[in-house]
Amino acid sequence: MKVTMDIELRDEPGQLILALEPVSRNKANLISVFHYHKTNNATKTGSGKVQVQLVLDAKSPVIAKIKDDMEKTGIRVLRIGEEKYRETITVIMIGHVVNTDIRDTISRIDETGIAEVTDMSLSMPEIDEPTSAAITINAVGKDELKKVVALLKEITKEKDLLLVLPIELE
Amino acid sequence: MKTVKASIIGFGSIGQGVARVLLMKKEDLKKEGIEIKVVAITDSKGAVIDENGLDLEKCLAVKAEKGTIAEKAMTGIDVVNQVEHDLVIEVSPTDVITGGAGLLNMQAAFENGRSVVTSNKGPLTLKFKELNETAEKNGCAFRYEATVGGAMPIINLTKEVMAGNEISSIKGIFNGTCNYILTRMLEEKSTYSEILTEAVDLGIAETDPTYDVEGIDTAGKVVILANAVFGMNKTINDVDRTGITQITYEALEMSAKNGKTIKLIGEVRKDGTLTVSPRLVPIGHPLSVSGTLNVASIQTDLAGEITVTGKGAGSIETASAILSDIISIYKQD
Ligand SMILES: NC(=O)c1ccc[n+]([C@@H]2O[C@H](COP(=O)([O-])OP(=O)(O)OC[C@H]3O[C@@H](n4cnc5c(N)ncnc54)[C@H](OP(=O)(O)O)[C@@H]3O)[C@@H](O)[C@H]2O)c1
Repeated sequence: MKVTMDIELRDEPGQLILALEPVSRNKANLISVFHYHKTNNATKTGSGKVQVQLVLDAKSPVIAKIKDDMEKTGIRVLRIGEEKYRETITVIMIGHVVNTDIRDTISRIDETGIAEVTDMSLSMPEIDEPTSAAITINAVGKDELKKVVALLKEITKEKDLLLVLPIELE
Repeated sequence: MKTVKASIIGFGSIGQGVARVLLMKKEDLKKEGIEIKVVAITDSKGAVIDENGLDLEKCLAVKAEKGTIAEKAMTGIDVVNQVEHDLVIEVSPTDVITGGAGLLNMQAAFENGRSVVTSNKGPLTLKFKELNETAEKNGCAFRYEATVGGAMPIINLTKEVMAGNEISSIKGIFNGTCNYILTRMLEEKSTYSEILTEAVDLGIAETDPTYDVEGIDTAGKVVILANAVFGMNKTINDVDRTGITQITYEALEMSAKNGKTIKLIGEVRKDGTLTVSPRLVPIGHPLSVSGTLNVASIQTDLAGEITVTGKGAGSIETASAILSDIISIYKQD
């Protein structure tokens, strides 16, 4: 199962490696690390402490073991979330979706580390006609979804595509 | 009995609808203690005037027969300035660029101490604050329910019936032409341009549909709602606007597979964001109405979400909103 694990580290070199050691020792699959340098998923939690979010794939006894091992080395495990992706949306894009490098569009979403494209369908009636695409995106949470939507708006503007968003979205 | 002397400025679809509705509801108006005496009517050619009240039946017949009611070479503004009356029913064409004759007519009406009821959006999307201030300064009523959503009640509903609620947003479909085109594209598996041709043939879209399909009409209504309901001071230039011309049949079909439909949605939010854009609406959602219907959903703190739907256009339908405005002005007296 996929879980998110929020941990608190001292803001010192080598701390992250220390934290990841129990993950590899217990043979869990580390999917991603959200570090505060890259995303604000990791935020300073107090004087000299930073919060980092790990996304792991492992069976639950393994997760429990990792948690124990981490705590033994003095790392605080703040929260373990069951599912990685709690939010999902499907959006429509219309225009020269393919010519404007659809792979780039997808990888820019995946690279955020907070969301991923899980499904896509394309329909191109004729060469030179605009392509329509339905893209499904999973995101870690509501705030992350908002960030991804903002990114999508940026990408579609840059590539001159029409983005049709769900009504429920703010 | 309160006798109200009125003029009808513009005698097209809506002006004639007003005349018909006044004839149809004469007795009901009497029960409310109101008698409306139309003393002047104008169209683009001129005016017909009778200080003792025109025979509306006859005016409608003359217009149908001759194409104009003009007997005197007077324009709308001449009537507003020179003919003694209480109420100007301003139903001349909309111009969102300059406000057109409508703007001048409304300003002149207030300066002469005459109240205004209108279906003409143009002046309200440009000079909402000024018009309201001038009306107030001169002790005049200013009502414009028919400018947004035709027969669908939204302005008076939110300002009066729902008073006390804090409204966080209003979103809806405010243009029947766009709604018709999007509905039919999916039904007929057709392209935007094929259905546009059909809509023009049926008289649902204008020969130059820019105003509707580029979302300008919807943007105008969003501006009126922002100003009237939220007390903002916005103009049409404050709206982030995208129309429906790029929507493909394939996009509608893909959406349908996901249980959704695409609608042109106008939205005002309390934070001052005004948008018009195509959005995905779940099928069965209160906003997923079809055909030429209009719909609005109002988010409130106390009442939760309230949705109203109705005919956004049409002669009698729009005139009904004008009639309710007239009654609400003179019933209070
Ligand atoms: N139609 C609808 O369902 C609907 C719904 C909501 C709001 N509205 C608004 O209501 C207003 C009237 O719409 P409509 O459908 O009745 O339009 P319309 O059928 O085109 O009628 C416009 C009328 O105004 C007259 N006119 C043109 N220029 C004038 C001027 N400078 N002064 C006085 N009259 C003038 C025209 O004269 P001629 O007869 O000589 O051409 C015509 O009688 C518009 O502002 C429109 O946006 C319409």
